[in-house]
Amino acid sequence: MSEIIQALTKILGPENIHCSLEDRMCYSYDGTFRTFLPDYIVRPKSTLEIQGLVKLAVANKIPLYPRGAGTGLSGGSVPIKGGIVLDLTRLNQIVEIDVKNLLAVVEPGVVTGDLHKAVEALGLFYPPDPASLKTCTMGGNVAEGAGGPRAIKYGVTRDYVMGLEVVTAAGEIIHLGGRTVKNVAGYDLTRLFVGSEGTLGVITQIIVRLIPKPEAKKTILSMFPKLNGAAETVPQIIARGIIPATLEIMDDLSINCVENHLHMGLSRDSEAVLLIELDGDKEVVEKQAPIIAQICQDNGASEVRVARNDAESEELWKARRAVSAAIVQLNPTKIAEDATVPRTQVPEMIRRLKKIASKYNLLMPIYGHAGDGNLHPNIITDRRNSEEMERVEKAVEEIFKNTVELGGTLSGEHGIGLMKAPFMKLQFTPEELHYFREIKKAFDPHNLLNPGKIFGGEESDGLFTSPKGN
Amino acid sequence: MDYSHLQKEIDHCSKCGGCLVACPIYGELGVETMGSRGRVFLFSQYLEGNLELSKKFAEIMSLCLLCKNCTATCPNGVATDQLVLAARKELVGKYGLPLIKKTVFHHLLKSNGRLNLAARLLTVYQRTGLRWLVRKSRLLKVFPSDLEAKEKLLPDIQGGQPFLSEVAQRISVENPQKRIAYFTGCMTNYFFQNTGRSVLNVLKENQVEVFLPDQLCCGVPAEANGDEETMLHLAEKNVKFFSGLEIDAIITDCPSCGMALKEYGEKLGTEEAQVFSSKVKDITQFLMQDIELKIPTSNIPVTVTYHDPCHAVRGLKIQKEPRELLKKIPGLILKEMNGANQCCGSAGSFNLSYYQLSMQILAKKLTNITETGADVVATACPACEMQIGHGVRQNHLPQKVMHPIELLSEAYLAGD
Repeated sequence: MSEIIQALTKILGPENIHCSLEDRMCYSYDGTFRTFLPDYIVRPKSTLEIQGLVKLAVANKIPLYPRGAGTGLSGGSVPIKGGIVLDLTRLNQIVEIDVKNLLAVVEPGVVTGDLHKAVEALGLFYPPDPASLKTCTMGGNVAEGAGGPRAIKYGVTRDYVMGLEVVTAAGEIIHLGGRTVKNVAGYDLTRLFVGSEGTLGVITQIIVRLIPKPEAKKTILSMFPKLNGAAETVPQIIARGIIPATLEIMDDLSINCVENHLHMGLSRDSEAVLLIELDGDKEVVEKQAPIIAQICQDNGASEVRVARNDAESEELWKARRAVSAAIVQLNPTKIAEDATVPRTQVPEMIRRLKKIASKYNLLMPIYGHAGDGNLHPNIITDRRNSEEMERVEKAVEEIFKNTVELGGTLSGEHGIGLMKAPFMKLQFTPEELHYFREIKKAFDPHNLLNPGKIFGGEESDGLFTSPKGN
Repeated sequence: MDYSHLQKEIDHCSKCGGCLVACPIYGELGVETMGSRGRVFLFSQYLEGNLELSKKFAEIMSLCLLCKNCTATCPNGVATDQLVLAARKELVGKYGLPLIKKTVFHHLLKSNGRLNLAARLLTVYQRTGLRWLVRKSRLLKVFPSDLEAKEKLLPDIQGGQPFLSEVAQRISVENPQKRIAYFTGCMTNYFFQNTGRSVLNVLKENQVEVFLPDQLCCGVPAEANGDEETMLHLAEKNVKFFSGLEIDAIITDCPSCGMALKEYGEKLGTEEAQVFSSKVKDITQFLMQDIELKIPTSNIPVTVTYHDPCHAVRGLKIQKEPRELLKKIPGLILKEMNGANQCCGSAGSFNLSYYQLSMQILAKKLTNITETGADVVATACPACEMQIGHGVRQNHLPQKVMHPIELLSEAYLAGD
């Protein structure tokens, strides 16, 4: 024990190593409900320090878990086998914004929202916008393959990562991708690392693509007495040749939770709310807004609010931003899923989700990115109620089965992490999973980098019914 | 202790981490353990029996400004400050109060005579050559930590005498439009007598009759340090002192006092205390809402920026009133700073316990103030005035730090 601390201290100095019980507890969680105590938390400041830490961990066969701000929703960073939590938030420099080459170089601990502000001040735009953007970090976004509402028009983190610096399990520093728009030299390991959840190496620097900032935006919030009306609106907007920057949906339960907290006058009888944002040239946005409003009304919207300025637009967004946390008013434990189906299957998926909720008698508010088929059914339960947790486990499995049946995927933007690992076999054949495992072995033969994630295994058995971690 | 009433706060935390961006301490230290989410989780672990009280736990719970910024940011309004206060109470139960705080809370706060004596000694210290000698002799440097800098936190005692000793217990006006009782708070009584005089002047100008009954400390310093017993003792006494007065409102010029006074009703549970609490109003609120404010006639050509005290903007939910009040002063230009509602790092005695950290938080505030180019920083809280005033002096900034009531009073006086 103390030998390890001595060795860690040699690399980092004593002030950046934490191992009191209180510290370990605070690094035992992310945004999910499962907790696992690490043995040490280390907070490096440079790639070289990270290299030293990885070498030390591997030499002593200690599991290592890279972590950003701990806002993940799949248990991607929780230290399920104990060991060392590698807190990367001190690497928080925006190294460079290259206006002419339209790219930025950032360290993994940069807060996503801070990058937004920095590039937007220069008239540029980094579109990925996970809901936790004010807190979450770029490293976490890349590792988990984060998305956000703007994915429908602009894509997800993966579509913006051009290059990476990585410390491998062997302790080498490697550089993947680069600064060019076109780059087909060799295997595309950059994309392999996006969404690799810290299981292949530690990301220490990121090059992201930027685009010019859209000139104008317009936000529209529509309330629908019937869910169907909202569901029908989505494909009709796309059919008119309009791709909104965001196209978000919230169901009745979500609406009521948000309204309880914000009192913003959302109609509590609505079965659905759509939040639609247009962006682009001013003239285009002004032209498209009334068309959208009309489509909403044609589908029975009881009220359509169009923001007249940024402040009003921000007001409307408050509802959507609040929802993920607001729903824990119903019950303390939230199982946030992000099952994703092809866009056209959204209405069918919502119908099936509602059926599953009532079959297992569970509270399940649904909201999410209707425009890109990425829904967030959230089971709101109480981990202390073991009988209900058994029903939860069954319901989750049924959600995933239906997702796959409709041509979808287990995760659109949260990552598999710990929480979805047991269900990978629903989406992939044994042959497909074999290739995943081979890749993992090639990079991390001793299974020390974020073990127990993605592939499942014994660690993820009884995920919902076991009340606590180690 | 039974903390079932706090279970809701714990259950409503989804661990989303959204509050961390709002936590000034997390902003400075960057460690999860020292942030708002960590404090909620650790207190829940303590309640579940997974965590014992420890020195480390005490340090974590001490390192909270009680600024309520996390609560304001949380979609579910989780009241982290309530959990922190409960934790501090538990810690006092186990470890007792540190000797110096025990002395202050049990012996000074509960007795005005002793507090007055302490203030007189401080005046002597500041006025005679003693302070000069101490500062010059580098005596403070032999003490550990930042005692030298901390000593400068205390502003000069303006009048020498406690404010309450220089005024009558009742100040009548002809045909009063309202009658109020003024709870001055310790800061105004001992350090910012000019704020007290300004409050009285403004009320006189607006034909408000003022009662200044005997009063003790509001109890906030005790409660913030986990000493509930002293808090309740002071609450009971203060309610007694103010009972029987025929008044429309009880006025404070300090939002921390204001918040505490408003909670007496719930804390004591007596009807008398509930009536007391229902009458409590911040001076800015009273002037803007309860009376037709007399507009000053003379021009005061100053640029003012306003700092929102945590306990005003998030505690009492006062944001508009002081600004509207300032805008009533002819010639005054109000220029908003960035992050006006962010904590200045004062937080009662936090700036004494954690001087460096408090100064780091203050530095951000001072940058935002400087950017406005304002002549005056106005803030309706004596504790914030003390902290920002200290920063201004230490950094040789040109700004004056004033309570908005002082500005209004000056405007009235200039017109007379």
